[in-house]
Amino acid sequence: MDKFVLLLILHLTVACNKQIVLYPGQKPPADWTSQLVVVRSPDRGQYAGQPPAL
Amino acid sequence: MGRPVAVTVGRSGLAWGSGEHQPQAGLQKREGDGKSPAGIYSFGQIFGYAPPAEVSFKMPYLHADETLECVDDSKSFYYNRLINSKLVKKDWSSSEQMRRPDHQYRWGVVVNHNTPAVAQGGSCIFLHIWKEPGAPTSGCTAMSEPDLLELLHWLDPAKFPQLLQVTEADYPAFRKKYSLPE
Repeated sequence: MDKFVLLLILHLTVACNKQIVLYPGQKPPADWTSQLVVVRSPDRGQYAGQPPAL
Repeated sequence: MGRPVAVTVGRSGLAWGSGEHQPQAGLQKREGDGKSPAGIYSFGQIFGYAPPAEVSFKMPYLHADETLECVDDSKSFYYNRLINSKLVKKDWSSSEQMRRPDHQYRWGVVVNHNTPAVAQGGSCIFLHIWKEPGAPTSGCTAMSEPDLLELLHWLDPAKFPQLLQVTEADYPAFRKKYSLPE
């Protein structure tokens, strides 16, 4: 289990058909976390962010 | 775990907040903007109306009784902090009562956004129970009580749980960097 992670994907939509999807067995990002909750929002109309500089 | 679950975010969408990620160009989260913070965040304490003896979370638990408040006045020393209002000298003009008259904070977990707090950077960000299905928040992320409880019991501080909250448009860059699913 040390090499794997349960990734909880909160798959978000603006309308009521929102969903969370869990992805088990993904490799964890090195030296970061082994539990990740991801919220993915399709919202673009209210968000003026630019592509992230990672 | 593994099934789809509905969630909602801020009534005004997302804006980049201050967390574990590198600063991002673009719209930045501000106090009172109705936006949920985009970026990567660690989690703080779980909170709820139930007495500590009645819960069994792996994360630290904070009882939301009548004295617990979250300060959203950026002029306060306690800005963006959960405090026992009976134990500190009040220096704020605005705060959230964590023991609400409704169900929304019956369970929740702190999202460590804007910590240590920068004035006007946004405060009191949680995952909590939604007011009703599909109802947006003031900047938190909300879901049904059963779904939230499942998540709260899953969180394990030994595994350094993190929140990644981004738009679909920004997700691919994070997915590539952190080898996340499609």
